[in-house]
Amino acid sequence: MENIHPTGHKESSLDNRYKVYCGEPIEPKYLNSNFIISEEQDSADLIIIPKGGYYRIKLDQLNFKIKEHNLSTALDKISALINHSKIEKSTPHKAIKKSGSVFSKLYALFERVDDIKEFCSLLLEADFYKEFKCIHFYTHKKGFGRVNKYYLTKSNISESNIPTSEFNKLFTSIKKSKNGSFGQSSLKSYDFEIIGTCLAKSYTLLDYNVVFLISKEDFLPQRNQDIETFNNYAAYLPYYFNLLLEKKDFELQIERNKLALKTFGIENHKKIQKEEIISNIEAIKNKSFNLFDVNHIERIGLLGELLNTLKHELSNPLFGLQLSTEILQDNIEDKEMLSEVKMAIARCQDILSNFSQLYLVESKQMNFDIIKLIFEVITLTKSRSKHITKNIFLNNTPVTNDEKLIIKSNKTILAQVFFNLIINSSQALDSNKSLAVIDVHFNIDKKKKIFNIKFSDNGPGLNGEIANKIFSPFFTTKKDGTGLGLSICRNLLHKINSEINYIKSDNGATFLLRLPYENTCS
Amino acid sequence: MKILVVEDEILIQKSLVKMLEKNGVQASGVAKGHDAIKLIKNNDYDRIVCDLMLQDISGFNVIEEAKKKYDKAEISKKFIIITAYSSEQIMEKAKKYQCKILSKPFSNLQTAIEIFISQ
Repeated sequence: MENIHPTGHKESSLDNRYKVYCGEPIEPKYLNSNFIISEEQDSADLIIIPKGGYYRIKLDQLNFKIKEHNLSTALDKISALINHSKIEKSTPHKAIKKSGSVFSKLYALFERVDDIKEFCSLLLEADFYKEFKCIHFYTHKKGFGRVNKYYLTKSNISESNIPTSEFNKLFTSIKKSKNGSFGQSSLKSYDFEIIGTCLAKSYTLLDYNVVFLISKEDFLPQRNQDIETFNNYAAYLPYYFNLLLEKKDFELQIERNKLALKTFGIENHKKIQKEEIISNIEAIKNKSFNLFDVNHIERIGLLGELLNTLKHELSNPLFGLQLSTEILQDNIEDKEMLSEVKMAIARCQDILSNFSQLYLVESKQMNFDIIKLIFEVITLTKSRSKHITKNIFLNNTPVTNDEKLIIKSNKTILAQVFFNLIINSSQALDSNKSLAVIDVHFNIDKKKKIFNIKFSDNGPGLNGEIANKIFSPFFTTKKDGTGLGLSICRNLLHKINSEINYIKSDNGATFLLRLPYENTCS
Repeated sequence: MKILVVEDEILIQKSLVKMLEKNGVQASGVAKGHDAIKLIKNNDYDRIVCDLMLQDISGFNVIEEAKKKYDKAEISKKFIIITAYSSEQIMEKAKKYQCKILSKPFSNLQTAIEIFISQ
């Protein structure tokens, strides 16, 4: 077996690259991608190459059978064996060892690096790609709204994000192309800062879509020889990309886990292994918390991105509708109906623009009308809170329609806190009474330079024991709650030197927000 | 006056064309960037209202192609960019051509139309 070719045979599509033979073929979805499993069709060996080692395992060495349905458990078992040194490191297979082979050259680079950026910059230095001047590398984790872009030259690495929509266009146009060779004009519309012609490949990995693009930064057409070299190595790259990306994710997961543990005052883990994460979660569960969801914060961030994408996608057709109603005005008889349509469109546009303001990526201190903000948030919570009467007071007087109160603060943060408080109250008031009320009081204490915001509802309220815990992360009384809402609110407010507290009252629940008050010009 | 509306959202394109016609302008619409380039090459438009995110190419590509026919001053007068994505980078790039930029949706429709038909 002189050649281990990950794709089996040259013409096979990349999706087949994980077909593993250990007696019988195994589907890619069952693969634990922390390993490379080499495909050796005629042998019953399993070759595993985790970072920094090479293991060749005879299948009859194991006391369990590896089958398609139990592969991931089997791999976990094998990794435990490796970790406990039950399986010896072996000498790389002769095909890998044989210097000069594509596989061995890439493996030699892989051994030296810890992350994908380092790997790519070594590729630029490597003798086989040394003619090329730069690499563009895009990673998109499936299901996530963010696309990372790495731009590498021989001396420099820069990182940025690009919109998913642009990435998808690039990804598909590369996938569709026959030889992966591009002139500047064919990719120009994506504005990818590519100078001259380039060679590109797009890969569908287990968790990622990846675009790998390499250029000499000249305008000469690609030589056949270059294309061939590029393709020879590019065919093996997805293995390493997958490993390095997975590794980064795993490290992130560990970091998150550590952070979560810290919240519970557990800090004794210097090294956390995958099994330990599971046992840690068990330990936390045993501490009788209702729900544990570390990913929640990440999801909130994603929600913001998702909403922004949604806004962009919807605002164009909505604008088209708005314009066409203007045209129809003169040729339609039922003017009343048309004006209803117009109003509905205007409402949709309003909601979209409010949403995106709530999730402004850049959150700065600015002057804004807080009364308008609370009404905007109320609009957004309408579906959950329409059964509730909301009263807004300014210095103990009900606000009138056109009243304004300009304050200097962080709009995004306040909007999120208001949103949370209104939703919390709405849920508490849901099953309760027919006359549900939320009162919001804005009071300015000019002497102390404090701006007080009081939220109260006439729901069931909280008993003393619960009231003490509501700001602790993961504390919740709701069946499907995450217990993070109020703790996030408190953290957000801390960022702008403000605080939130629960006030004991006889009737319902009351929250008091205290913000620093700065006199604004108006 | 002869105006070309380059916009791939068909409702926006058709509505704008009709509104411009109502204002006494000879207007036509096109959705694809490549088609727009051909039209610009073979016709003399007084104004080209151009969206940036077209399906095939970007509005900037259309302007670049138009450079073959018109000089810088003409480009800056002829082209008006309309865009829903007014990110900083796009604004920077658009400024390079020194033409007017309107972001979609227009805050005031009538004003927008007046800008389009202004000489």
